[in-house]
Amino acid sequence: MNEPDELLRALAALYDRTDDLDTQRREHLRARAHRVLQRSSRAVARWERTYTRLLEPILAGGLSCLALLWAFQRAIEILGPPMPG
Amino acid sequence: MDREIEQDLLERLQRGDAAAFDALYDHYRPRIFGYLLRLGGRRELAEDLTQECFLRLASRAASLREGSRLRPWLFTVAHNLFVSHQRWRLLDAERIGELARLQILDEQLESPFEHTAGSEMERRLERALAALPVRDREVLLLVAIEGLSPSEAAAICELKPEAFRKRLSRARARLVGALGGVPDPGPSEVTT
Repeated sequence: MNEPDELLRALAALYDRTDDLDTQRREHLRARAHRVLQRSSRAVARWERTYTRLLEPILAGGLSCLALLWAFQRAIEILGPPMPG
Repeated sequence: MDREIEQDLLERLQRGDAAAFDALYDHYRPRIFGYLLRLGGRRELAEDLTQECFLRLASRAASLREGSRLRPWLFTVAHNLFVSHQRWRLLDAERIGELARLQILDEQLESPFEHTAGSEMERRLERALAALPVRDREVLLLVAIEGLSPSEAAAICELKPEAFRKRLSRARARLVGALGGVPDPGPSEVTT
């Protein structure tokens, strides 16, 4: 089998040959997922999305700026005022 | 699954509809499980990672963006879970002593699909796939078997399209080599 197309066709034929979880595990997972779904309500998700996309970057940016300002201030204090002339 | 049906199910899932989860779960579970089983070669590992993958779908569905494609999302989660597991296995200090033994086991690993292959050609393909390095195996699984587009698969593997194309080409050459055709193209690159 040297032709790439032939190889890809043979691989694509493996698509239909798949496997699955055993019945007990499958249903156990389904029940767990249903419980998770009930817990994670849409309101919570909306708050999580707002926090991740808006509040977290603003908080991280603000705190980083404050830390940078503090570092500059400390550097000026340690190095003293600029020499005249 | 039809795009419109999937979007409808996803919207219902975001509202917490358990029946919508069931429809998506029943449709995608065998695909994700089969992918992880071929990728890792271990049934228990594939079961655990499939479980984690669908629990994440249940817990994070509401935060998926409108118009998100579920299939690449699920394969991305499965890929990331597998990569995390591989890193954990390598970094777990207590198991460093087992590393050599595990690597030997990996090399001797048979494909879980080999025994059920319907033909000699399928058996040879499964065996050759299982013998490939994980990175090469993964690109072939995503594109050639699961039918994802190269751009979707590149995003899942966190590769630039050009790097993905090279890896896919090399994986194909390795597979042909493993099947007794063209020689192996040499060692794979180290970077991801």
